[in-house]
Amino acid sequence: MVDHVTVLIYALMCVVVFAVLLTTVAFLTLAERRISAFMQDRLGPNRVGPWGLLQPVADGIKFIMKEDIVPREANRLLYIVAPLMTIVPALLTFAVVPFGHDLFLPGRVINFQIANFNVGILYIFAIAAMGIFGIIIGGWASNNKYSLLGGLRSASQFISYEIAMSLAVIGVLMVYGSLRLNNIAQYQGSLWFGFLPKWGILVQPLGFIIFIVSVYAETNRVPFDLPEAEAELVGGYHTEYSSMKFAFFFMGEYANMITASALLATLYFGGWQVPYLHNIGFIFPGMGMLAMPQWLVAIIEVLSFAVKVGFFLFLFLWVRWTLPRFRFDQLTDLGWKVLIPLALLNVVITAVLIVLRVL
Amino acid sequence: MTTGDRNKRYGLREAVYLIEIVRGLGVTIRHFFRRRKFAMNYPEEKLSIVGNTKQIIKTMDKDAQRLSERPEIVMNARGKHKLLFDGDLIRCVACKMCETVCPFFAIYIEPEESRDPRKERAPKVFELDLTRCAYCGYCVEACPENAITMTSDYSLIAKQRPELVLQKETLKRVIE
Repeated sequence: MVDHVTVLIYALMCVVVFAVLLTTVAFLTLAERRISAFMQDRLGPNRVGPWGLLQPVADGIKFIMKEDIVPREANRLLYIVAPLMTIVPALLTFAVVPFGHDLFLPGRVINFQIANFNVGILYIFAIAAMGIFGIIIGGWASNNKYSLLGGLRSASQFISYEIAMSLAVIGVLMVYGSLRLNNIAQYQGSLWFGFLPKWGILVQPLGFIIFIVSVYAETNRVPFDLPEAEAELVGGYHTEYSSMKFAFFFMGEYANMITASALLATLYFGGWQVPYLHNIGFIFPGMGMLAMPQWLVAIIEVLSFAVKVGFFLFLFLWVRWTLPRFRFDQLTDLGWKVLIPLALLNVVITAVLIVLRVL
Repeated sequence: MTTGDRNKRYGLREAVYLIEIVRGLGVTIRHFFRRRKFAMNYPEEKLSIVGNTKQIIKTMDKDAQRLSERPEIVMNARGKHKLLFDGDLIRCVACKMCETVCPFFAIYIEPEESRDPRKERAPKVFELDLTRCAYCGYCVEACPENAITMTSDYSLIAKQRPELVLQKETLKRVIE
């Protein structure tokens, strides 16, 4: 069943996805600084290379050259393990994200996805949950009150939001009836009332809002960046970290953002779907079709996925430089008293609509 | 800019919060696409002080090039000093008024006999230590010959301290 060429193709895909992910992380740090600068009528770093494009390289060199300090009273083993526990899950979660239609080559079918798990979404939640341990352990192992508070906040924030997030996704699962992200993306290409693509945002508007709010909390981004809250907790859980260990936390945060954006795009914005684009070209309902070779369709789909992910990444930055941080009790209130009931309501409404055969 | 009204009764729109978030996002994106930025690309663009008005001079601007090569003598500007020369002859008569008045002992003068028949003395050595100078302008005020002035050149950068001790030749500025 599995031949050597297929294995080779997937191995190559692994390398490519990994490289693209890390490159995106690097340029996202630059984008964050440039976009924040533009929103504040500044210019941002534009010295290293054209438009400052080589700034990530300079940052990387600086991180490597910095002295690596381990506090004397810290728990040495956990202190070293914690950054790895943050970045590894952040990179692993991307494995199940599909970024294109299945490709039909003579003799084999290639998924545009590293691993087409039958438990895709559960896998993402399970692995993403591991990332929180990195933050909690890092906060505890530093033996610093600010780090510890950051870790504690991360833990309680996590239990407030993870439930609402999972409940929001249940709505999606009910509609599309699959845990495979590839299937979910595929179903979103089908049409509603004969002309409207069945994207998650149209089918699950309430679920989308709950999910996006939870995702911001999950990735520790503003307005829910309480674990690092630099105004209150110095640096939060990474106060004591320096050099590459700090860079790992930093990269973990950005890698999480990319996965979260990919998940938002896949669950609610059709993943790699372009409206009316099928395996053989555009088919407009009642208006004929536009045939296209398979490779062109594949390129358009990957591009469409990249654009959607790019939009959500921009939204992450955009929101960060717009909204103030929540107070901690407001955050748990919002999680337990607003989002979870709303998510339950969403599940009920979805169920009723499915029984009435509207969805 | 509008500020929040403390006495305002906030309604459903504020309570839902999402609408206000979207409005806030609108504000930031407006600034994002705004072309006028307050930051300057410093070495290429400089804030020049011409008269009392401040203006940004762009890279390819002829004024900027002229300014960086030959800083203008400007009213009230308190930048790098210049010693004025009438053609070949220095105006300074080495009276040591500026050396005396300088609160920071930044000026050192060694006199010699002047080549100008109208003047007795001229500086053989005129050292101005910019690392000591506080740009107070007392030397300019004290000078009876109007031989020393200050320019609008404020970018005083050096890789080593001795480069900031200016000599007669580096302070030279010829008046036609």
